Amino acid sequence: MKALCWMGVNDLAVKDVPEPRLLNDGDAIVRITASAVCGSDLHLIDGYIPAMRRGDILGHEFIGEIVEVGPGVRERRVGDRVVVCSIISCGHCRYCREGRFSLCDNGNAQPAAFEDLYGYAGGGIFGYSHLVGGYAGSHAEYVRVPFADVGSFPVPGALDDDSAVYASDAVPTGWMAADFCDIRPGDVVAVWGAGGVGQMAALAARLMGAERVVVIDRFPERLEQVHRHLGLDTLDYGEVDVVEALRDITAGRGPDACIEAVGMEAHGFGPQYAYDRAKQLPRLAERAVALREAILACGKGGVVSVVGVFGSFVDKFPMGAVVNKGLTLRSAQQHGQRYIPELLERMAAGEIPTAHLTTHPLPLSEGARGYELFKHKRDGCVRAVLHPQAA
Amino acid sequence: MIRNAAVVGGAVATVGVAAALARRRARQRRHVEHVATVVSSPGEVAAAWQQPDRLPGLFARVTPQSAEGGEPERVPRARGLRLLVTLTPAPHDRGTEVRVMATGPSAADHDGRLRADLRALKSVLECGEAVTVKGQPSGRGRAQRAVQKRVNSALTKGGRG
Repeated sequence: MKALCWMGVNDLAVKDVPEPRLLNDGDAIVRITASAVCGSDLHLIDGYIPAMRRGDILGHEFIGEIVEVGPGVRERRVGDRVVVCSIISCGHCRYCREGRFSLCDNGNAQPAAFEDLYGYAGGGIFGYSHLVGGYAGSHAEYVRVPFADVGSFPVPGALDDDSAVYASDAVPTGWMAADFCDIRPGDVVAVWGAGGVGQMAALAARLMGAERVVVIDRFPERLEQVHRHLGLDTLDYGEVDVVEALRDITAGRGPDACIEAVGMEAHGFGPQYAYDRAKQLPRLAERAVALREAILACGKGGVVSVVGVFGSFVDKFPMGAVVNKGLTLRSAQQHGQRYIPELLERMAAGEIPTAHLTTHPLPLSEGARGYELFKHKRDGCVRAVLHPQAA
Repeated sequence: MIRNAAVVGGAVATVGVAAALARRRARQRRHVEHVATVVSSPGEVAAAWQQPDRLPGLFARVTPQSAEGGEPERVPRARGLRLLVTLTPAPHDRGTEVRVMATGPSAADHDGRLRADLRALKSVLECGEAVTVKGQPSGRGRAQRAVQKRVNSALTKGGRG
């Protein structure tokens, strides 16, 4: 079969690889119909996440049809059209039982490096380095899905592939980010990043009852999407002082919650940004421009919810602001298995629009170009979605 | 004269420190311990030994003992290795703490394997099987696949939790 492989830093190529086969009793094989590029993939491509190996298949946000199941699969059948959570979790350990699926004890098939880096291993992730299991990803014609009963979900017929694919990652990640904020009536929520996850976090905050939601970015097409498709307010950080603007919007209170949906390659301006870039080149630190700003902007007693991906260290972290404003810092990889069934229903009911995110549907053979467009925000690209079955 | 005494004294101290470190290393090599928490009661965990074919690696060759007074037992087909496996309730319904202690001259040689076996045991007990990535596709050539096999083996030898 064909698969889009990581061949080195900023080097992707479509390769002929063997088709996947069942390796565990709980596995299913899924024929991929749509697989989205994700901002977190850029950290792999740019070489900022360790433990990628030449030849690894990328992709973790996908939808398809089950074509084979292992003897231990009870809930899914051949022919089911399913969206698969990007996180691989067993469904039985302490963390899965508590609904904290991305902390799964048994989902990472190769936990040693994770343990050495962070102390304890979390769950696995499709196509996201040997740090999180070394699983083959979904930018391919077929993928093997471990713990298929736990991580795959039937898709309502009303949803097309290019809309439903985001139930795999962007929608539940955004939903979890807002869920972390414990939103109450009257709350103002600020969201850094108007990509897929940021938009979904903003919409989730609104659906959970926030009085006002403000999304911060600088790319006009993304800000325009927030206005047009979500009906929410925006700030262009290239035009305004974000902390001042949020203080003004909230009449001096500051946002009750701030969601960071940008991660380790945040953009910015000025000496601080230059300093971050300089330290990221030799892998000494990550670019935490948006994270710092979210902490500084957040009102007293507020929540800072971090769903942008970070892999190692950040510096100039404003811990003083966290302590002295009494902030709560929450973060996780997505606990998608907890949210996806409800979110698919909401998506089918039209409460969560996602179709507009797919600005560039492409065949798998153009995967490398899709990432180029996405990385450099060329041609108004918000998300490229790869179709491995297309000619 | 004073200078010579200082040199001799320094050499003696160096030899002494080296000998102490060597003794410590030897002790460490004769004693390896790993522990994991499994979300089942001690009785349910102990029942797994009634089906030894489900138990991974070295765990199939020994039986759990009481935490008090248990003695490491000789492991068939593993020369110079004794294992003590104990099961104790974890606090507040958190499950069972499975502790494995290896002693003997070859204990350290089995360190990585014990870690991997304990992790696999936890997975088998909690979700019926230990997930693997051995045999999945990649875009690697033959030489790269051989290197990757060794990398995967090293990365699998974990097991806290």
